[in-house]
Amino acid sequence: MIKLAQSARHRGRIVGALVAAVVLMLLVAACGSSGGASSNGGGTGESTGTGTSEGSSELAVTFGKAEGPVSHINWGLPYGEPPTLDPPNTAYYSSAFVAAQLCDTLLRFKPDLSMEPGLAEVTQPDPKTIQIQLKKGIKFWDGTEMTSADVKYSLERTADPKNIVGFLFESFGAIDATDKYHVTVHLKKADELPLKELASFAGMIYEKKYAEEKGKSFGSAEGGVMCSGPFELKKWNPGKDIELTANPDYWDPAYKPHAESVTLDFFSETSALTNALLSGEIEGAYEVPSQAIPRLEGASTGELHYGPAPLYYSFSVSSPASPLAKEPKLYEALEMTIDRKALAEVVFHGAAEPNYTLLSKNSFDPEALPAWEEAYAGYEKVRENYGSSEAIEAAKKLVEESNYNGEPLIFLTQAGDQTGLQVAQLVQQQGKEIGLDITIKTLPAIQYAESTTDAKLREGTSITSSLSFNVATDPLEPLPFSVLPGSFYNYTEYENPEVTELIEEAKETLDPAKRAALTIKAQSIFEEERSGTSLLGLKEVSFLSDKLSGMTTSFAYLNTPSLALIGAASGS
Amino acid sequence: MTAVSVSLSGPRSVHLHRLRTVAKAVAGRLLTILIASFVVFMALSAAPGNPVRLVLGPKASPAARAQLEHRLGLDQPILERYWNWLTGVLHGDFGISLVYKTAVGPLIGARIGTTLLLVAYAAVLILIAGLGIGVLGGAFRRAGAPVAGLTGFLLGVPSFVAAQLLILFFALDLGWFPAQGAGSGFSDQLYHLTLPAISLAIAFSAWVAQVTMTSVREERIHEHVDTARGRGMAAPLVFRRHVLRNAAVPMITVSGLTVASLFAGAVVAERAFNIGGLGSLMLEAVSGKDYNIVLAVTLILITVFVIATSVIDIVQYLLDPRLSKGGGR
Repeated sequence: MIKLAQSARHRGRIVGALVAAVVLMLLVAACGSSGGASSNGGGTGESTGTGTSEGSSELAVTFGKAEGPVSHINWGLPYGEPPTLDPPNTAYYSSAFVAAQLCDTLLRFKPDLSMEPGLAEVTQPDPKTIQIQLKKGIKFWDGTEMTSADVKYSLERTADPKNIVGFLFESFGAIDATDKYHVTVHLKKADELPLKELASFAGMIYEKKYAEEKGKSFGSAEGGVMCSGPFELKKWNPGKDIELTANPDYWDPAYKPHAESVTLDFFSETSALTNALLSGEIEGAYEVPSQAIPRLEGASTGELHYGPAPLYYSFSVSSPASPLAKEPKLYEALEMTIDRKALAEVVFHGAAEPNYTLLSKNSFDPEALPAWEEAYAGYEKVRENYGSSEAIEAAKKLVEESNYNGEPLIFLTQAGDQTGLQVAQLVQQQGKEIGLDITIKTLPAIQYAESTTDAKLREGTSITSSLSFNVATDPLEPLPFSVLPGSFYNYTEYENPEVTELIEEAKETLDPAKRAALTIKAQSIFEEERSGTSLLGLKEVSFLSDKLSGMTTSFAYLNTPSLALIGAASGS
Repeated sequence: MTAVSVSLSGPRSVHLHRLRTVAKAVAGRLLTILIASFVVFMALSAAPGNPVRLVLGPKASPAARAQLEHRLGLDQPILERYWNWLTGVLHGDFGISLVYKTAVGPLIGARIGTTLLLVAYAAVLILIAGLGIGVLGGAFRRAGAPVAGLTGFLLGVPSFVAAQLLILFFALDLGWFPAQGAGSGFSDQLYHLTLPAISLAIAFSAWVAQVTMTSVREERIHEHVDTARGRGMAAPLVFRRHVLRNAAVPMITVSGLTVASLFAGAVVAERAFNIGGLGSLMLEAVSGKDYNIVLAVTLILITVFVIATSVIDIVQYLLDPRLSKGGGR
């Protein structure tokens, strides 16, 4: 799970962007194991069908297909300039997306977020071993063939805790290049997740010789990268843009670029991005901020698209000393008053769906979807009236029955995060209706980021909210961080030995159905004792010019060379 | 003999005196920059938030954090850190950016040209419009009220509002100018920076115009102006020699300060028009507590201010005989 501060987008980014982007918090766990998740071959780059994935409603995962070549595409990056393109440090929207156009991953997400082989066939024959069989004849842009030495080097760097995504591969032990095209990863403990992460920035492979030569400047504007992807890094103009050119010798026909070149412009203000899309100067963008939706709906230059994504807006009690943590009934009362449908409409302009459990619907395991949906239906039935007048009346009673003495409940928000502020104001207003005094406290971006991992900075506060996304679509990626003792996002120090045991067992269970059964059982316990939830599942919002077609509209865009699929629209 | 020695020592002492004055002025300004850099360094260190945590992410081990802190010198005493930074700057080394993990010098070098062009463009617009309108309002009685009304209104238009209105009208509706970006190549850059420069210039022009108009009006009613007219001098000559020349000191002061302020004001236009300049870089660096970038950009801004005020002093000294005569005393 990755949490990030919203400020970037608001550009109000103010810092936006600043910074914000900055505030990423990565968390992902590791454990458990499933048999080779990647045996289906064949690229699906040209797929144009619609599909559903991980519990999202019927949203298209692609839009049209490229009907012809284009000479150039101007693309916008709403989260601004990437701080780096060094793959194990690209856990930010901009850097992950740009890196994915340049560097191939061992596995690859299909638009529907399922996985297929990328640079390699990857299997997990036993819970503690991952086998990587690299495809032959794949060349870096400089013509050097990719070998197991590059794979070993890249994975070892990813697993290095000094790099941002290092924790994803915490369970990695020795990595052996057994022959020119084969690599074996020995895990220190049974762990299902690392294999799934190989379709993300954690599974990107780059040239060992080049990275060693560049040293610390590898991945920067100065040092660049040397990869095998469909686009080559032509020039990075700091503060302005990144220029890409098509790789004429790209190995995978499914992702052979339709555009000869692409310019990626950095944006830090929502209004500037919106104006650029409305004027046609920029022809497309992913992660379009929800505040831009009303203006872009009337665009004459292109169209908004909504796709499925493991993105969610969560709401948590921020300190074990808060009355909301000490009195579960008080927390329940507050949650009962929050009108998710209103939040989805007012704050996210429809680019979100109500959610009623800690785990967001769009994070369900696709391999055990029916079981998760059935379990969720039970919670939804009981909770879907939250925010209604009956629920508010019931909540008032709960508050009256509690020991709440009217002390202010502090809701932490981040300066410049307009979305967070709007959510906080709505919750404040709804809390007031049942007699809760909610006070909004705004922290500067850097301090807010620290508060998400430093309990001292959360002392005296009660509520926090955040936008997060998962890398792998697996409930065991986000859940342990909220419900296991001592975990980063377990702000209320929740601990139930039975839940811990079930989750730990699930992590080591290979069979998806059995793993789901264990996790759903744990869910049935912590959902009744909870002090946090995912209020909304968010959709991936993108924009594409009428002149172009062939866009991945799901969140798979982030980790795949999605720009390679875009070409001229029919008739143009 | 004595007479000769006096005649020789006189000019030499004036010369030395002037040299000493210049040396004092330069030293004073360098001290200002030094003190300002120290204050900013200390303020930044005292501000809450540990950037290392952001850079490495929440899951980083304490050892990894300590290692990065050591590499960045964040584990040293504050005065030592300041000293190291200062000696680095004197050798042209502004340190490494925490976020971009690359030398600060090239990061600034890549952006400073755009900001300089934007500021220069806006400054030209301000000087032409501000001084022109101000002189017009001061010279012609009838123009006074409309100029006062117009400048009063424009002074109240924040540059971000001006930017949005300019984009809506000239970029999106009419399509005359780009809605964003800085362009590439000199003429394309000028084209791209036109709306940003106008948005930046509007309120500043109004300010310069108001000060100019007031100064010109004040000079016009002075007795020596009436005397000159009474002596039959042509009106344009009176205006040029007796009004404009005397009004020039406040006009130049306000124009100089305006140009210096443009560097700080540029941040708004840069963000509204998505221009990657020093302002945007500074804003992002402050949020991410990217020390070395904040320090370097601040140092540049302070230096620009000090240079601008020095230039104003020199020009005033040259323009106003009273200042130049009394300068040595």
